[in-house]
Amino acid sequence: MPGVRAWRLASLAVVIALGPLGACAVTGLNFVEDDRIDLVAPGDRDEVRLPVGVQWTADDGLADEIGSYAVLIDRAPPPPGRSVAWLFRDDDACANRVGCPDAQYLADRGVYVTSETSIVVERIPRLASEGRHDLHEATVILLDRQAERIGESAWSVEFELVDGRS
Amino acid sequence: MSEVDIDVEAIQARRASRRAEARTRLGVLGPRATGDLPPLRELVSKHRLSWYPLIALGLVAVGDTLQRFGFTVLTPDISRTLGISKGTIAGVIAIQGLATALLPLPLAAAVQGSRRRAQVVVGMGVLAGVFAVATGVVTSVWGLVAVLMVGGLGIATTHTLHHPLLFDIYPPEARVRVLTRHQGFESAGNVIGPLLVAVLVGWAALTWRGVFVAMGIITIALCLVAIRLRDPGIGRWDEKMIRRTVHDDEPGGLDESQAPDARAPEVESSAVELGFFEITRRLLLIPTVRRVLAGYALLGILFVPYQTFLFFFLAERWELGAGERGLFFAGAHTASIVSLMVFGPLAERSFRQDPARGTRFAGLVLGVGVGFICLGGISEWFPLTVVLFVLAQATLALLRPSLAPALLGVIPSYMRPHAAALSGVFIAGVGGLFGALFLTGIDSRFGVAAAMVSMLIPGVAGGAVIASAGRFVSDDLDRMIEEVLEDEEINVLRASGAKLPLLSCRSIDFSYGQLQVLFDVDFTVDDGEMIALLGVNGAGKSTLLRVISGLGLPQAGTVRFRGADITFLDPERRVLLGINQIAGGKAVFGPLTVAENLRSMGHTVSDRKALSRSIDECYEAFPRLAERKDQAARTLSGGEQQMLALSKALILRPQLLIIDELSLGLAPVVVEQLLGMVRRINAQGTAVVLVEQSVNVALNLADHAYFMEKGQVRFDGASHELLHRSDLLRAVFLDGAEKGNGRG
Repeated sequence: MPGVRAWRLASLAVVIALGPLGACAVTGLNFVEDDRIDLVAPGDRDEVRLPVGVQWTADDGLADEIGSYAVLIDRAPPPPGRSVAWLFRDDDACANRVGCPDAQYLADRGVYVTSETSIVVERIPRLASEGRHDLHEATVILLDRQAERIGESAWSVEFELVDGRS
Repeated sequence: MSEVDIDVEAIQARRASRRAEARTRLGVLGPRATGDLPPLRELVSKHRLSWYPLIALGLVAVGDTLQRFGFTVLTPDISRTLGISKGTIAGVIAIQGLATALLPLPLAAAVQGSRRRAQVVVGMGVLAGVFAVATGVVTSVWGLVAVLMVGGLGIATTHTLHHPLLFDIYPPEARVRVLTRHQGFESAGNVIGPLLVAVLVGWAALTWRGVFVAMGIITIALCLVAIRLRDPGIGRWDEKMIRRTVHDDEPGGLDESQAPDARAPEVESSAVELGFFEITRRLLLIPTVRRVLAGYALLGILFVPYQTFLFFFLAERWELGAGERGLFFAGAHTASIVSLMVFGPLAERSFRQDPARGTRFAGLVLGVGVGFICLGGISEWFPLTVVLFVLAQATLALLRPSLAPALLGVIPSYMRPHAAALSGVFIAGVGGLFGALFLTGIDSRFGVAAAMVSMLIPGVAGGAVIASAGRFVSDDLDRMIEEVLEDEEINVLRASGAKLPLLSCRSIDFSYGQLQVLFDVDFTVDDGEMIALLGVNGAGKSTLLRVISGLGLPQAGTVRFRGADITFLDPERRVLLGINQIAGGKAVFGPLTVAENLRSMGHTVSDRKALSRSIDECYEAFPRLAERKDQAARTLSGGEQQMLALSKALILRPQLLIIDELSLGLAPVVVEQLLGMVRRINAQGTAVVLVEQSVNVALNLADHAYFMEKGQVRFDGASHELLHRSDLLRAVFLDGAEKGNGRG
């Protein structure tokens, strides 16, 4: 009986150990950095004032492959295959309103969708308490023509707002 | 009496000499340890050991450290890729921390008594490597949680098994130096970790996925170096060396091989081997362990959030980027490697003189280390800040290797993984949780520099508590030695064909909280004996019974059943061994009927027909019970309830029956009927311990008596001799006893 029990326990341990592997994939993942985009401004940990210009350069031909870019301020991007609207899926008020989320709704929440390679951010809420460095992060991702995120690539830069905020 | 005294003194002298010899063999030499320390190389060669186990375990530890760094440094990238918020990532880190804190417990349970600990270390290391690779290919937040939790097994194994294995591989006189070198490997991992991440990200242009896959492969490779590691056996140096003391000391030099196995023990070892919870409870009764764990809880407040807050502090106060922070940590851990190398031989020498110095030094190290952190937190000049944090890291790295020899040295070898696991629970589970809340509160109210300064509070408090454990170390070491010596002496006795007593309690101390109620109590019961245990109210009789039946665990001393140590065995397992207690006045389940009570008493009897026969015997022995078998037990008279309680002995037929206050408040006729049954049970071979305040009842029944007063045994001898001890039997007893004697 102890032998049987040991085998049962061992089998259970193997199932528990191997179960998480089901949440893994081997295709469509980025193992090497994607350098198709280069963030130009702001520079890493630059001190900036509002309005903040976020600018990047893209590889030749990238603009033809994708639908648009999304820039997210202080916000994690949606998972691959999801649109930026997915980020606000729990906002019932928006869900019940035709045309929501629109550009203004997204901008109010730090999300900008553009086909250009730069945006200007007019307003960024302060994150740090008074007297502390107010660090922020801008992240650029690629969207397809259905406005869904393409792959896992994301490019980000950290900057510090010094004053003149809204 | 004088002859007995001389024997006791001789036994005590021999025991003291054996204890001193055992201490020497464990590398604790006392003040005479002033000579040169034998070089580690010489010790390794002398004992025909090799460096391989230390290097192998060190490399496995490096692998675990690498992964820890990978996750810390790459968190923002993971968040961006998987589309999960920083709050969710913080939750994932918390779950992983909790898993890493708790996983050592089941791991310690799984390897309990196993001789495959080394294989478990390698296997878990490889599994952690596989799951590091899996972390690199995970696609959802739940997947991330799952792989990190399973991957935490690697870290859990390092915490739980590395030190116990090193203790069993290398001799006691080399331990502190071996542990400092092992810690040096961990520090090396902390140096390599950030540099490796920097190289993989900066030079090889890998994403966090690529980094985890690479680190997983490196971890697997490092673990495969350890594949030839073998378990040296539990207690190879400690218990075996102590046991050898007994054999070397025997007149004529008893052959060691003939002692333990020459005659099989009368109790199956599996019946008395401690289970996981029994070991845990036992550990928590060791003062050194208890004090160090309390210190660890305070330490966790500091240590668990320290790394995270230091990251924020460097980023916010000194505006260091990720790469610069990595270099900062690499530099600080390099300094800790240097301090460990210098510290090893010094600490070894100190430990040999006094094992308590380790805990005192650890307390000092902690206080000084947090002092450096505090000064670093308020320093306005960056180079000074760097120097202070480097000094803090170099100092705090000495904590584990200075504490471990004292903490693990005072407990039996097979319990060391449990102690190591408990340490993790107290540091990360108890302290870490509170620390995260405490420091986050300070940070949000006063800023990150204030959070760094506030670490002084738990650091100094933890240091003081850990240092105070020093006063228990020597006594706890002696107690551990005593237990092993006693066990081996019993093995020798068994081998010589001597008959061992059914039950023996030796040097029992017991306390309710701070109130000690038993003091150095010795108590022995032989097969078939009828013993009276007498004493006034509050003398400690019932407490002694609780210790025998397992309802109370003693702070010191041993309880042995046919020579097997059952001191910390659960009460229900003692019932299976054949020890039964009938508690005074509360031995039946009131709401159950008589029949139901009888059936419940036989819950350990697997043969249902035999149980029915035994119940019929009870009805035959006590016809009043048969008449009331469908009546709730609480409706029975006091005498009938005692009859029902006594029936347990008829059903279970124990080897030792302990009866607490059988006659209390009962009519003489009923008492006589019950005593008749006790005599009958005893005549069938069951040894009986009868606890009574009624001297006449006890002395009429028993040939052998113990008298207790104020928690001590004041008389141990023939019952009739007790009647002549008017100093013990006060007027109230004597009166009753003389009446009883006249009657009998």
